[in-house]
Amino acid sequence: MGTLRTKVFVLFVALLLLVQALSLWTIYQANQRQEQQQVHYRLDTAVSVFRTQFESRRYYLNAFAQTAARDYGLKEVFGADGKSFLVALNNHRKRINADMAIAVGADKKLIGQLLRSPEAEGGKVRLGPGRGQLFSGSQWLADSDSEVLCPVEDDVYQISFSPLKSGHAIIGWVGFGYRIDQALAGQFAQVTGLNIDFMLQESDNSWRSLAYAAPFEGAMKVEGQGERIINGTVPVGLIAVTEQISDAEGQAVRAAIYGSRSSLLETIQDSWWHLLALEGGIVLLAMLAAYLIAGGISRPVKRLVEQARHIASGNYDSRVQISENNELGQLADEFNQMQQAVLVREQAISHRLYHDSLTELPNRNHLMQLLEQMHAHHDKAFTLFHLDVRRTRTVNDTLGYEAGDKLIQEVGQRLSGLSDKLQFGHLGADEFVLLVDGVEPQQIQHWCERISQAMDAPLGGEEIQLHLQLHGGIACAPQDACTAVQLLQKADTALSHGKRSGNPFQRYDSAMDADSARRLSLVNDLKAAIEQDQLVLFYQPKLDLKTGVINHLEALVRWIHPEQGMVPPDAFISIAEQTGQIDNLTRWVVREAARQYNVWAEQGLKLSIAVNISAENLKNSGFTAELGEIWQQFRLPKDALSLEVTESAVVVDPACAIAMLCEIRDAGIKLSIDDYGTGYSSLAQLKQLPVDELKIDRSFVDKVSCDVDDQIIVRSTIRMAHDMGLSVVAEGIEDQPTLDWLAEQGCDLAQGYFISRPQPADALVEWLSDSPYDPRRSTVE
Amino acid sequence: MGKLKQGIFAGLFGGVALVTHVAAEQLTVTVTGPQGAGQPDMVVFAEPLDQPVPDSQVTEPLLIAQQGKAFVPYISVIQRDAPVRFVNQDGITHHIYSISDNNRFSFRIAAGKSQQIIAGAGERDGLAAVAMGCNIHDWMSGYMLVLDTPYYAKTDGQGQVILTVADAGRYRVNIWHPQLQTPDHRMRQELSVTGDMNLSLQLADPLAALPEQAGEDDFEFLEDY
Repeated sequence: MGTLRTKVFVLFVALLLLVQALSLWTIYQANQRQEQQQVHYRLDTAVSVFRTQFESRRYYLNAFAQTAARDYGLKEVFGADGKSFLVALNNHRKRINADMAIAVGADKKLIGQLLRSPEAEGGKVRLGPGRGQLFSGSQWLADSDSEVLCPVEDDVYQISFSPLKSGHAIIGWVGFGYRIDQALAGQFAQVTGLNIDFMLQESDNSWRSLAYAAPFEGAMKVEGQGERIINGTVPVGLIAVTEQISDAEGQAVRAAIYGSRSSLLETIQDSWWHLLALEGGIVLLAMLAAYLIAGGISRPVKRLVEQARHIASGNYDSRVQISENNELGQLADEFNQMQQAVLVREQAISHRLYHDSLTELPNRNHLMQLLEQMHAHHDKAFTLFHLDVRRTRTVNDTLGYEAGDKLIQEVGQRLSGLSDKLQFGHLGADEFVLLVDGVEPQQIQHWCERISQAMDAPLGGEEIQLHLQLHGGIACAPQDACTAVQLLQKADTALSHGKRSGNPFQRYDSAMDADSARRLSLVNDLKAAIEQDQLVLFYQPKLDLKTGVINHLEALVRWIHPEQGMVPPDAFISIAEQTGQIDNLTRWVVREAARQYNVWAEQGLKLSIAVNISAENLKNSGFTAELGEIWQQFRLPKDALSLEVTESAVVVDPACAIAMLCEIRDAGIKLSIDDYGTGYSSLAQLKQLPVDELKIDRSFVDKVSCDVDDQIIVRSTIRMAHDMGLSVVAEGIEDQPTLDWLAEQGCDLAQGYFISRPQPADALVEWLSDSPYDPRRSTVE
Repeated sequence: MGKLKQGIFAGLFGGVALVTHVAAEQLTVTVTGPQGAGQPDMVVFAEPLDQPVPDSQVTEPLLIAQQGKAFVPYISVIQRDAPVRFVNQDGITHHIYSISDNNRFSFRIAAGKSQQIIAGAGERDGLAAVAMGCNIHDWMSGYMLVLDTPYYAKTDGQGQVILTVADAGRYRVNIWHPQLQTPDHRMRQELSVTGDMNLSLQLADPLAALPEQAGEDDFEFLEDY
């Protein structure tokens, strides 16, 4: 465990133990010295006591021997009457209760020695051995003061001799001695409190114990202890010293003095144990303190760690409180501040995550979450509006992204103003989503109206006022979809459908899915259709209102799908545009029109054919060259074919489009503006456009016979076009009055169901032959 | 004091007179110490080896004084069976004793009194070195050399002595002193005496210290007693 707490604790305890160990070691050393001194002192004292004891005995014996030797009574019988002398000698012996009395003649022969048996054995006196023989210890006689240890039989006696003199002449010696025995040992042991073992060295150099005493009665004597000590080995647990009493050859006597170390050092040991206990207590206390201190240090750290975990897990509510006014306290403050900062930043991030940066409205993520939640409540029915702001791209391109952003912000604000209870969001770009409780058609209708109303007021720009227009796809939960993603998809499908069909609000229908599927299959099949001639051209005539004949046709492409039958152009032209096949399609259409023109021309029928081109074609820089090739290949006169381009195609990228159109016109090919009036093209733009003809959109034409406003528009458009040198074509003529009105207004060409629907080439020629508009007839006429 | 010297002189003279009377050879013995100086107070005696030892002719007792709590002289020489008189010249009683085997005696002599005894026999090798002491004054020590032979004398200050032997013949000349450092405190030399002869003997070692006959204690209080 490498925790701070453990580390601090271990450091503390290690230091403590070190200090304690040092102090204990020092005390131990001092104690050892003290013990050593004590032991030395004790043993020195013991030796000293022994010496004193032994010396005093010697002195006592010596003094007595001198006194006895000077006793005339003794002298008188010395050498004269052996028996009497021994009795006299014994009398003297008795006076000091000596264990031995000895008399040696001047010739150093042993006159006699009296030995007293130990008290325990009755204390009887008997005559020792060696009478009449040369006294073995005669060397001691010369110096009466020498310490004499005399082995007799199994015992050793401490003897003092004194010469027996006649005048100054020595006529013999008398000596008195005490046995080295239990009594001596006992006395010593009692005084010193130590064991003493008197040892005699035998002829084979081994040691024999003469007498032993322990300080306490009944103490067991350990055999061989004395000998070991004398040989210099001090057994463990003992203190010992050897005192040499005599080292004379054959009668070396030593005293082994020893005692138990423990009993001697009992008090020191006791105090040592007390000290150990005290130290142990201190260590325990200090460890407890260290534990608490370590805890004190690590507790705030632990709390910080805990807090860090809290923060990591996203819990920002708790604050760490450390009252200490130190680095840890500061750290805790920093921690809390950091937590605040992290919280703020996270809120910002999560806000950004769930809100669109432009409108600050809930974004797709937020909506998806919300939808998931709403789906979780299965019983709750709600409706999703998928709204798309129209023409944002146009605004971006013409007025700049700032204006586009402003437009989207405005839409967002207006949607937010609808109701507080509404859930809505900004999916991104120009798409918004609105969630409404309930799925009743009336309710949905009500909301559609409210949304439209909200968008009614135009957005006032600095120079231009923008009309806010929305497309809406509507899907209902739970019947339309069971997941959020699906629901959004359904609404999106409805939106796309609505866009195609021009409905501002389109309720989702499960048929749309099939439609979508068909679209998908068309995408795949279109390429083959172009290559395999599944496409055909239908032609709708344009009536020359001045001459009343038909010299112009508009070619409209049709797809006869092998499975789906006739596919309207709306369904596949956009696909071709989106999938990059529009160039192929246009090329096919132009070539087919050229071929047809030549076919009719051979029949003597001169019909100029207008072909629709897409905005995408204008992006193809090789388009003009391609057209040139076709004209060349089919040897067409310049006015054989003309091109119609929608107003909106020019609006998207006017500069590029105008450049391309100029190129086409310069190649001598006639150009028309299709659907004029729907693309908001400005007059300034119109002026720049290198076109020869202008087609007024059907939306202005179909009610022109009764709508005065439309009449004004159409009339002024015709006049303006004529003023600019353009011919005018009106589309969508469905009745005679309209045709008449247009003729009246000087419109050049008219096109519409009233004249003819688009028809295949053969049918058209047939129809033309039967109609009053056949140009051949007019030329015939 | 004068009386004592007179006695000693008479004793010595008596012996010499006897020899002179028989009239024969004079043996001059010079004893020198290890350094060659004359050694005084050495007992020199000659033992006839090829003729019988003459008996003591001395009738006058040999005087041994107790003077100043000391034996005076320290060494006395006497032929066996000759009378010896201990004269107490001190003002205190002496208890003179000897425990030498053939010469055991013990008696008290009151102040100014005397006691006469007959010297005993020699103990071995023709002499008895009788060590005498006083039981009252422990330090007192004197020797009485009891000889079988009548030819003896103590060396003078020059270490010289003149022995007059009755007849020529083989003699053993001995030197004796209690402090002579030989096993029996004696030196011997045999020689044939064929007229007046000179003999020089040198000690191998110096004499041991003479015992000091002086009181270890000063009994001054006794003087006033």
